[in-house]
Amino acid sequence: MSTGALILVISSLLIIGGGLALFLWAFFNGQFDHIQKGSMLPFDEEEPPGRRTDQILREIEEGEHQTRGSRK
Amino acid sequence: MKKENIKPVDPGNNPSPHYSVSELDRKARFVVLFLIMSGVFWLLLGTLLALLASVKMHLPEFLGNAGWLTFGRVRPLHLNTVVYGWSSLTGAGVALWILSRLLKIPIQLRGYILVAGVIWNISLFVGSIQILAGFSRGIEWLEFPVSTMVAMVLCVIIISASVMQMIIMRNVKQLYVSVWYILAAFLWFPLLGLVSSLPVFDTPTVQAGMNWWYAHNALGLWFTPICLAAAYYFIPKVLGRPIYSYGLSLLGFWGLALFYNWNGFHHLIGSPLPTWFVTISISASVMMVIPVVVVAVNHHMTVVGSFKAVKYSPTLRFVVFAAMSYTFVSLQGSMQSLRSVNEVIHFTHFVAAHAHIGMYAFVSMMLFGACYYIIPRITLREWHSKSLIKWHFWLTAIGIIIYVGALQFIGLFQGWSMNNPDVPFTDTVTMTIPYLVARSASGILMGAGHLIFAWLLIKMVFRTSEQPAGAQVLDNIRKEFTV
Repeated sequence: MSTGALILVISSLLIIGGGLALFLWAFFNGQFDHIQKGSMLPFDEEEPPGRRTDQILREIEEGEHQTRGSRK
Repeated sequence: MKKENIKPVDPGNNPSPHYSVSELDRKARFVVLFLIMSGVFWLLLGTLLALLASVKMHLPEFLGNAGWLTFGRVRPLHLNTVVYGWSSLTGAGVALWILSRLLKIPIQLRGYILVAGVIWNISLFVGSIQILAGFSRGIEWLEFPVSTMVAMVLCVIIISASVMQMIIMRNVKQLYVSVWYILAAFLWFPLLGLVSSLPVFDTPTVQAGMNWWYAHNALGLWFTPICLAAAYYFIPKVLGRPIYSYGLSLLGFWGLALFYNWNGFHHLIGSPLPTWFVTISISASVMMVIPVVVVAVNHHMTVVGSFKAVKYSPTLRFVVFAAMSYTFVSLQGSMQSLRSVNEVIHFTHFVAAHAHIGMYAFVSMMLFGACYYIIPRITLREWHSKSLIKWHFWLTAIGIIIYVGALQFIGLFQGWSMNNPDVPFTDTVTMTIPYLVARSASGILMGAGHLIFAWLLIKMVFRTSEQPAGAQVLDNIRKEFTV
């Protein structure tokens, strides 16, 4: 096997090995201890779950409905 | 930093202060805006180059007298500017902002990231001139000279250092799945870039192997993790509803980490590469069905029942379109890796369309969606026109659907004709011309969408009625360096 091909194989194994190392670190670091709580991580007291954001196109549509209504 | 925004946390666990969302966004503002805006500059240039290359496919004499505008230079430059300019710079900005929000810590090394961003842009500029002057490496996805590539990789390493520092100094214990994806992307890409720049791939066969190992992994281990991180952040955030299954999301991440990196060699079916190389690649490609279906189910089950919210949110419109495209392109890719399918579609326009589902319908649309969420929050301004946002979405969505529909339809017939010894080769070329014209038309639609996006961005950042962003540039640079 040429040097280039060998480097490709080693690099591929390194990527897989890196993934495994991350997994082991996560496991022993307690990252999987409360797995269901993980889904709440994007939320906090300032931006709690249950509140939709970024609904800016609703106004334009409601505005159009109002305009249509007033025309009628 | 304003004192009222700092709240005490358990000092025994973590000495870092607690930052409010607005404080995090204020600190992210300049770095993220710089990366996104420079990315949009390269998007516009890349779009212009794409249109030129597309028109030359059915009108070869168009601008044919200028050597630096020939197809062999314009087309690689289109690819390199959108990959390393638009997608990488904007992707880095989006990733840093998401990390800052999820780890509840300001973006670290901001001054160094700015310097890296400037060097990155200069490298792109120099590399672009080199490609137009004819000094390309001649390797797809790696046309920039090695010096440009190494400079860009060093810039990514600086951002990787920031990512690592943010994770070490984080104000939360558990890492959300988006953090895993971003961390992995910033570890994998420097490895890919440095290995591909080594001067050891000296035979054509090995160089072809390196080419597709790199190109496929650049999409799968650099852009895909960043964009999936964005999907896993923005879908729950906009809907105000947690992701359907956090366990499934982690399964999807480790599936990508374990199965993806060997996929690229399926591009070399029928080549002189050892058969076992290619066979492992086909197996790995088919194995990718598992993490892809896991991601698709998770996203679908989170969004289901909330389609009104998708309609009303510019972010979700783009993100959901991108997430659906990810499922489609990945399952299609697994099928394309099969030898029986590959022998039909190889060397046809089908593959070019497939690549555009990945890099445009998935990556670019995800980045557009992310920008629509992030930029109002870091500039504290609202988008200038909601109608133009809708126009941006529909022009780009319809554009890419026409592009993919036309090229994949004719690509199949082209492949069957090329495998038929009774059909002259010239017929397999001329039969595609109407569809190449359709591609140019779809490019005009997408280009118009990009112009609208750039216009909205400029109006927002450089709005004269409020604080002019331009006048604050020097002040911001000074502040970033005093961190």
